[in-house]
Amino acid sequence: MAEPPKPQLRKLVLDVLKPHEPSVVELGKALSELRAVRSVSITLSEVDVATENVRVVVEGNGLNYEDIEKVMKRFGAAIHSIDEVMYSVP
Amino acid sequence: MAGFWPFRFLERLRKLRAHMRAERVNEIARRYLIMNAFDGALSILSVIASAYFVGATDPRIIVAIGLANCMAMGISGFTGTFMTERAERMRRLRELESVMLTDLSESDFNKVSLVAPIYVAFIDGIAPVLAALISLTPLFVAIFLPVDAILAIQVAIVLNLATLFSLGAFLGRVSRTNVAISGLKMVIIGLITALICMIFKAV
Repeated sequence: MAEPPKPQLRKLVLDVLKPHEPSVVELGKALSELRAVRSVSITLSEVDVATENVRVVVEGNGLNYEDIEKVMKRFGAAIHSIDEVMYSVP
Repeated sequence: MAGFWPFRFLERLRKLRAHMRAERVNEIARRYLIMNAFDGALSILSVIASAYFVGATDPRIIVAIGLANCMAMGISGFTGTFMTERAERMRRLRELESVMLTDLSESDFNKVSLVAPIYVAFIDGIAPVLAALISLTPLFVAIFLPVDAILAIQVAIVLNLATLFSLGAFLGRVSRTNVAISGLKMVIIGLITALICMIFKAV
């Protein structure tokens, strides 16, 4: 009997603290270049003198959380919390 | 093909582009380019003009002194800028770390704090050398071809003033002001330098 397909990471909502530069446009572009990413949405929620809080929504089919975390680190951003995770069978 | 190291290196540089832009590295490099090319052009003008007024018109002597001058300016430009820029970048990284309350050693900011000083230092080192080499070209020609040395020196001075004009014109374009006036200002500075060299000769 064939194994049932494994659920895959489809959506991640992150609360992220990042420096103003590089901008959210650059961050969004870098995230969208990752494997399996279908869409990226970043919303600004709070602005400070040197930093900003953003809500990052990444959607795709079989997302890799480690890759997303690496991009955040590259951009000097810190993931404060994971607000939503969605797994589903493809 | 993508695994071949030059491609990997270029890909890495491409990824750093956003951070380089964020840190305004190009703007700094442009400033250094003009500043040091101007430095190089003026000091080589003083070498050529002094030699001309003193009467040391052997192109070999001028080229030897000029090249040594170029190298010194290039080395001083590279090392001085690298150390200054590196110190500035490290300071900025520490500031950002204290604001973000995180360690940024794995971020691209850390890589940029090394790559940006090398890039800017390279521009800073090469700019005076190139500016000076342009003026020395007629004298190089005079060494190897039967050209009148005085004529070669005169052409070199004209080329030097043309280099100064181009640098001024470039600045005029950057500041979106009158290109010709900006270029002429640089030429006047060059002429004043040559005049000072002439006064020294009289002394």
